[in-house]
Amino acid sequence: MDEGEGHAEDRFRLLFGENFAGLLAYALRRVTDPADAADIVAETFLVAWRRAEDVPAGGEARLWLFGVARRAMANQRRGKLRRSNLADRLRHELTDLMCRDHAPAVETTQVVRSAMAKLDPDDRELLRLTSWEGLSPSEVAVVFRLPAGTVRSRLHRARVRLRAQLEEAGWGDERNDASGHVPADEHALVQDPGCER
Amino acid sequence: MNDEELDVLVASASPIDERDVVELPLAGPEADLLEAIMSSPSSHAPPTPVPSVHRRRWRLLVPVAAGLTLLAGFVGFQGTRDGGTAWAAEVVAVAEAAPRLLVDQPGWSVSRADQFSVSDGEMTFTDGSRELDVHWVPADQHDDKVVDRANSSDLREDISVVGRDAVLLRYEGTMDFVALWRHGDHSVQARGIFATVEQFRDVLGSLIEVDVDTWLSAMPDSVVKPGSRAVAVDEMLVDVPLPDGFDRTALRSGDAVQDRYQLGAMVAGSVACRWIEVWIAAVDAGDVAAEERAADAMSTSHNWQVLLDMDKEGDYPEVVWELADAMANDPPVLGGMPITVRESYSDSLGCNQR
Repeated sequence: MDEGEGHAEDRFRLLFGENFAGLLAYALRRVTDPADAADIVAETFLVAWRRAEDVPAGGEARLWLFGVARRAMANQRRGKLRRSNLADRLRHELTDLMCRDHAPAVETTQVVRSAMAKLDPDDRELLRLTSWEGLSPSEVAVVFRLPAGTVRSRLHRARVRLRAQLEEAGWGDERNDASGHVPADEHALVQDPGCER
Repeated sequence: MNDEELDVLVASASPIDERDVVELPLAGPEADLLEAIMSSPSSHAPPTPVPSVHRRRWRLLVPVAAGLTLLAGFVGFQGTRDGGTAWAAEVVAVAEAAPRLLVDQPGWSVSRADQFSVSDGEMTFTDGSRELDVHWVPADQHDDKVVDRANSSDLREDISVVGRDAVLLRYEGTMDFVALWRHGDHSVQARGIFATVEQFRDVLGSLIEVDVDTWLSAMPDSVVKPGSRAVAVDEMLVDVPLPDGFDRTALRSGDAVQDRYQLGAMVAGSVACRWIEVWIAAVDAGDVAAEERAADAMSTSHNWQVLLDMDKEGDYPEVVWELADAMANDPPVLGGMPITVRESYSDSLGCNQR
């Protein structure tokens, strides 16, 4: 973000442009209905626009947005996030695209997801932010508003628990490839219940 | 499987890669969303008419960190005197320089106040449903501001606010009103969304100038008023069982507080750290009664108001509760995995950071 400009609109356009895809990916990875992802993105950027003075400068802005999106998602799960008319077009086109271009998840992915699904939600989110968003423990700490040391110890525990879940599911017994490597085409979009409407 | 390999495995289970999202043909909806958001009111900028390529837009004044004294950072309390409040000298200096305005109407209070210096400041008043943002900057910026806002307005009136000549404007096509006036060495702007211009005038008409003490005392809890730290700490501890010998002096007398959440983490964490230390000592000594007493005390953390309040904003309370549950149910194991309370509590709660 170019602080030298010092203009709210310029700052917001930059913030939006730099973070739209990342935030949309963040939301799409965590909800079953692409329309919900559109609402979460809209709500998050709307909060950023309304609270421009609270958005930190530099790289922390992205983490701040994740924190807002996390709360928006919690509201969405509780049915408290309204359908935003700001996101009408995004919602419609996103739903169409996501439901058209999906491919079924492969077995490897299903096993890992199944193991993650058995974790505590916070453990799961720690692992997601680390592996999916590529955040360091210090960055995750900003999102969660926790001391970095707390995140490190939590992350350690989450990994221990995930390994246990994977072992319980037979991981390692039948797979010699424990590296987690999967072919590129297995990063495909997945069928979600929201697409069936 | 080491941590790195596990992280790669988790990454492989991501439903969608950001690269795939970037390639989605969403440029149109993305642009629509950006413009729609920027057409809505913000706390600082007026709605941006769409399209508006020829219209000048008000630019947010972003305070430069250097040279600014943040209210939350500078507040300092120096005791009481004969029923009054003694504010730190630097607090008084800023307060004396600022246009000390309050909305004098039932139900209205200050909901936000930050970024204050002798030359710049901003605060928000609310009655629960409506908000009035008041900003002040050096007076030499006044004329430019009036011209700038007038370019985007469809209503202009000359009025009087707190005894000063002011101009009232409405942003074109909205119910977003702004008033600007010179106030000593400052240019003041009051802005808000109201159902009618009469409502806006009514709130402006209720603005009053107050003395330093009254003005500082009106600051919201989120700012942590000068001198309120000790009271805030005592309030946070009111329903928290304390270990024998727990000393709250340092908590009450620390530096100025910037954020209630962080103060809450410090207060609740200090108590939890001490209880767990007591618990560990009891386990080591084979003192079952003391062990149970500590675990019972920590089990009440689920009802500590300070943590319940913080739970809306962050996850620190869950860390405390996780440890409390581990102590009470099946010590010393957390979550069925070989991570003990003893091994994790200090890092988890930040005990060594106090």
